[in-house]
Amino acid sequence: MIFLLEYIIRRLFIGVLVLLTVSILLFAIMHSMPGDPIQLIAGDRADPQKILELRIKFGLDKPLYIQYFKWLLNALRGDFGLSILASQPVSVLIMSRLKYTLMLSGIAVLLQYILAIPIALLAAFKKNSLLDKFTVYSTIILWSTPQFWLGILLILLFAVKIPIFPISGYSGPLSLVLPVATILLTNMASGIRITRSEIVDILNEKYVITAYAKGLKEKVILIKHVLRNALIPTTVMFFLSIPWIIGGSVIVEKIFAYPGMGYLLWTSITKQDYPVVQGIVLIIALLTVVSNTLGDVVVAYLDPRVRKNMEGK
Amino acid sequence: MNNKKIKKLIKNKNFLYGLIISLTVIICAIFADYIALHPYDKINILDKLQPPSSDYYFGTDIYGRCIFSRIIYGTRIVLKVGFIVTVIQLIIGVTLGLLAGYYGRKVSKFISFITDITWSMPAIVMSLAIVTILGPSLTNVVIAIAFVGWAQYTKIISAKTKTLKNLPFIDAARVLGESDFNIITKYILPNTVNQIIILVTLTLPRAVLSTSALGFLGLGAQPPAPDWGVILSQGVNLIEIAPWISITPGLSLLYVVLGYNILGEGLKEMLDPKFDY
Amino acid sequence: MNTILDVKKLTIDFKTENGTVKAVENINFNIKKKEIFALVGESGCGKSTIAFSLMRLLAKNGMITDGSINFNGKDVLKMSKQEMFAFRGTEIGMIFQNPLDSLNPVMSVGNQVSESLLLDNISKEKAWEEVIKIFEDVKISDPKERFESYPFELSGGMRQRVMISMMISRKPLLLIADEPTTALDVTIQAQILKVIRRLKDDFNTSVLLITHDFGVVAETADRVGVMYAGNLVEMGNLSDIFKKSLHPYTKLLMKALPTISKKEGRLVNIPGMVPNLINPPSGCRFANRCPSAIDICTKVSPTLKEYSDEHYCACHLLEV
Repeated sequence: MIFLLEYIIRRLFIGVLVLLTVSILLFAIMHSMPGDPIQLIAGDRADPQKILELRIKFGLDKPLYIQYFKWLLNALRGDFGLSILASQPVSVLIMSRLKYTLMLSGIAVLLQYILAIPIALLAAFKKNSLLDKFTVYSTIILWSTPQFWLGILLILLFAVKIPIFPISGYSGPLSLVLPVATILLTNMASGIRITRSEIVDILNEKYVITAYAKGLKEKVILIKHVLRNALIPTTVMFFLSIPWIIGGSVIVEKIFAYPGMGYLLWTSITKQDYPVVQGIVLIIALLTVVSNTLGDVVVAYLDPRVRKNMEGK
Repeated sequence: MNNKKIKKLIKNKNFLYGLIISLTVIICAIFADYIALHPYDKINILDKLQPPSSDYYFGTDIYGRCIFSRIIYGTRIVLKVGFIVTVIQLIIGVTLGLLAGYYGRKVSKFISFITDITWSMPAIVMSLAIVTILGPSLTNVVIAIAFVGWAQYTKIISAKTKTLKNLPFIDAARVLGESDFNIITKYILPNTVNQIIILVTLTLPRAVLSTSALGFLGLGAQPPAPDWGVILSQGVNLIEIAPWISITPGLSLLYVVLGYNILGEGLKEMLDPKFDY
Repeated sequence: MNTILDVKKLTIDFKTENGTVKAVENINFNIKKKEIFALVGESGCGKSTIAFSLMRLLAKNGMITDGSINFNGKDVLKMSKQEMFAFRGTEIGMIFQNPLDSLNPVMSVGNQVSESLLLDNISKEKAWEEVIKIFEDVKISDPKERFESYPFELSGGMRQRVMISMMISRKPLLLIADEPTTALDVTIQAQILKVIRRLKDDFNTSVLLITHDFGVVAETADRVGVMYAGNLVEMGNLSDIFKKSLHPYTKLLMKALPTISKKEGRLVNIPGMVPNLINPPSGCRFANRCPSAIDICTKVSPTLKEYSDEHYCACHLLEV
């Protein structure tokens, strides 16, 4: 187990380096942009004194690298500064939205995992049958569908024409249905495809024939040998898809006016509220690094070949 | 590719249908002036929000512009974007991939570090960040998407290069005194062409979807450019009274992206069925 | 009854996109109790196909179009799916060429072997004990530690022993060994063959040994069947095949074997190629390469006939 820990730490270290680099780049570039948020707040007719005061208030008068280190130190403590528009701490703003995004993404990811596996297993086992062909073609079509269009279509059909679900906002669990469906339909497609291809490969492996030759029943073979082995790459994929679903939620949240972090990101971008943009982008980057590392850890845990390889080192 | 392979390729249904769809898009783009009914920015307030008819195949938007014509002219944007993004990603990604795979250790580690940075967050978020920095425009969206995606080329090409460089024929080339540059360009690169082709067929549809997504968010091509994502976004608030404004560009996107994806499926079956996304 | 396996007129076809491959044609042979029967021939001659058909584990595009397989009084081809699942493992077992691929990489070898035993509804503890016992029988060192090992941690020879353990654990009457030593070092080969030889005496398990290596045959087999291009061309006991070969193909194979007594250094090469089995030639499939072929050979397919005690051959030349 100790070796596992070492491995995790090593991966996280690289992740941290990456995060730092990203944060520096983000910071440097955002602060060298034309367009002055202070001007936006103060308005056109504000007098220079007021503008200077605002600059000092937001710490925008100091040199760039000092601003960065201050920001970094604060960020590590969870303080991402103040939102220029809302005059609230960025962290408070993000926190109030984060739970909605996590709810949406969390349900989408879980459902994707639960649904994709049996569908992929069935399709792979009955390869080239009508069911399989239907599954493969459906996934290609879904995969080609623009997520934002699908969301709007779902709103048109199930919220406007047949008013079952609310059109926007969050007013209870029903509000989750259409957004989750939008994410699920577009993302699940590639998951099913990849899992199916993994299972097809496994079904061609010699050890599956061995399992038959032993006299094991088909169901047992499919679950204990095929599925168990396929779960390894599938679970990794599940963890790797988390950041993508969270990122993709920007579009879905905007369409459904769902009060999540993604929607906040979009509004902050259009209004040039840099501290908020920075904070959100960094949190997403952090989630990505953590998800990727978790994915690697899970592989090591599930696959004895990887585990023993590490212990050997 | 010899004749037998080309014949087999054409017989592949996926490749065939994908090719046909792509060709229709190219034809629309080239002959847009003849196919479209009206200029894409012709405003005609009297005819605003008309449902599809023989005058306006896809109806009109709030300014009375013919949606069909806008979509036809929009194919130019779709093709341009796909092409440019792919070329940029290919050049950067393949070059770095070859270098990373061929030269081990430090070069490889450095390149994978840079690659990890672009891969450190989902593409949408990264492109959003870049567009924020550079400002909303089609050019900037193209830059953003190109920047975000070259990593997939690097990963696959570097892996393939690593396996290739250990093969005996490379040793033979070295013994003959070939320079590294020659080895990489004349021996290794041609053997990665299959992977590159497949990567291109993956990049094209993603580029189209991403650009239109950013266009939809208002961060891409600016009006009056007939970007399909923009057209779609303009129809959102009018979805109840004029659903065609949003439905038709969506269908067009589905058509094109599906075409590219099917083309990719066909090529993958022929070139490298074991390709790992 | 001394015969445990009786195969008659077995014919197997494979459907491919280029046509139907007539892989195996009119195979007749039997296997007795406590004997090792070697089925020998070049790669692609159909021997593995026959092996898989005995367990009804042919690939999806394979079809048994004629013949019967009778095992211990049961008609294998008429069994239902349920009966086949009960049949496999208990009456026939099979081990394969490359044990690394044939073992589940993420399951401990001990668990894989006890998986078979647990099918007989014994307790986990009993199964564990049985596994250790079998490991000892096939001479796996440190059996208790080995139980927890994964296939990739074991050597090739060790893995093959594990495979054998797995397949004989339920005491089948017949073990099919498909090229069991091809992927192993020569020294390990000898050890595994020793284990296989002991199966017939210590475990009462007959062995159908499939191989292309005559050295393996000479060391292990009691009786031999020689195959060429999907046909069984000669069958007999070991000394008959080696010293009194009847079929031109067998004779050429014997000539091609390097021996210590050979004074010349040249190895005999059989010119020509194996015929395309999608459109097999009418007549004997070996005719185009046979040095002694006569007119009838290209027209009529020879049938297997007995020429002396248990020595069979399918060749027109013996009729004239």
